[in-house]
Amino acid sequence: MIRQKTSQVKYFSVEECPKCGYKIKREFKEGDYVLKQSGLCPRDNTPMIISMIYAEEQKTK
Amino acid sequence: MSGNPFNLLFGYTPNSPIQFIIYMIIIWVPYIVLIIYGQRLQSYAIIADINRYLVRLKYDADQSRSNLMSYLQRKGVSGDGQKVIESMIEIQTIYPVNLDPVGIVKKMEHIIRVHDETVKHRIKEIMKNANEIERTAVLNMLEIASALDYVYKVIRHFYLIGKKFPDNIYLLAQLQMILPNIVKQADAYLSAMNALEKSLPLGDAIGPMVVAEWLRDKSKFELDEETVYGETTINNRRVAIIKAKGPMANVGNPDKALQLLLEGPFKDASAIVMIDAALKLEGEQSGDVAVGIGAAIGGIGIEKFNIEKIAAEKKIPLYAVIIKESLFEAIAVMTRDIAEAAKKAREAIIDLINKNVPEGGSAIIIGVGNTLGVAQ
Repeated sequence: MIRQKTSQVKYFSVEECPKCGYKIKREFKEGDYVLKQSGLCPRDNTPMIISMIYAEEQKTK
Repeated sequence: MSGNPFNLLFGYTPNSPIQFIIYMIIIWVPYIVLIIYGQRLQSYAIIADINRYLVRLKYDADQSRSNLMSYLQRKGVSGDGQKVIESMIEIQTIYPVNLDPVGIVKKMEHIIRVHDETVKHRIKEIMKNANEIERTAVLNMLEIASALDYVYKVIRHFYLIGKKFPDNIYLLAQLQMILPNIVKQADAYLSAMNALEKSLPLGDAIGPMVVAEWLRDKSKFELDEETVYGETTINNRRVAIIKAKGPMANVGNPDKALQLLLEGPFKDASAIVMIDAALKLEGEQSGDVAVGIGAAIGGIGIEKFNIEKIAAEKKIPLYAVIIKESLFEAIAVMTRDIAEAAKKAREAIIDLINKNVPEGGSAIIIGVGNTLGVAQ
């Protein structure tokens, strides 16, 4: 039997520390938007901002 | 053998009358039928193919309508409110006559403004308790549902005409040729519904996203309806940044904002730089950044006309930084390739400013596109 490849799209938000450049990629939460202030940077405690929100295809067989 | 007239005519000599009849049925009857009815048979095959696409377009139109209605339901709009919004799906905009094209842009601008204001006003009345993000989401979803409904009806119109006159194979063949592309675009519009519901940035948001970074922690002023501007400094050059007001699903009025700045605090601007998503050609990489000259802005052409007019009157060079993406990517949720192109685009803009604006001079940067999911 031929198994068709299917894909599922997931949305991610990337938080970035404006001071040291530290980045965290996490799943998108409703209410997120680019340049929204989010958590604190684990390195220097600076408030991090969301620098990117994007969709990524998760390929499953 | 070769002299036998039957053999010369048909390339075969039957040995009995039965063989002759079988031969005629197998080879010649279909041949004659195809000569007489070939075109009609082909028409039926095309009609069946068009019908397949039409089913898909109907699905997209129905799905967009039901997505809009369920979003409204979730936001507390039901009953009469839903009915009013549903009726607006079929709202018609009659474009001005173009027999005398002089001044047509002003007339179009007026009609589109009236249309937008009417729809916005009705949504505001119905969604009294909703916030600005939710209202703009409904406005954009309504536009999508309206576009898909219209596309379905137009294609159905030609399909039914084709069915009525199946001998007109050329009409049907043209429809069949354009349908795969139309269905692809319709699917892309339907996928944008999902982005609007969750307030995710679309591929088209790359222009506002590129410039928003320069407005972070800066004062913003509303110049025209849904359009903001802020000031920053790039390598000793005073720069005004124009973009639509986010993170709502707005595109703003960059032409009006540009005019106000050029008549006010930025009358000495030496360059206008526009950043927008542009359709890539097949084979080009999504997220590629290109630099050019001219007004980088899509749409019907009203803003483009106004921006080109102001720039030409004031003799200010217009530069463009474009981020390549497909039509599907422009309407769907932003992909990683496109999001990562923002940094490259910013570098290209800085390079343009350094080369074309003298130190101590000023410039205006416009981030063009729908700013849903992008702040400022």
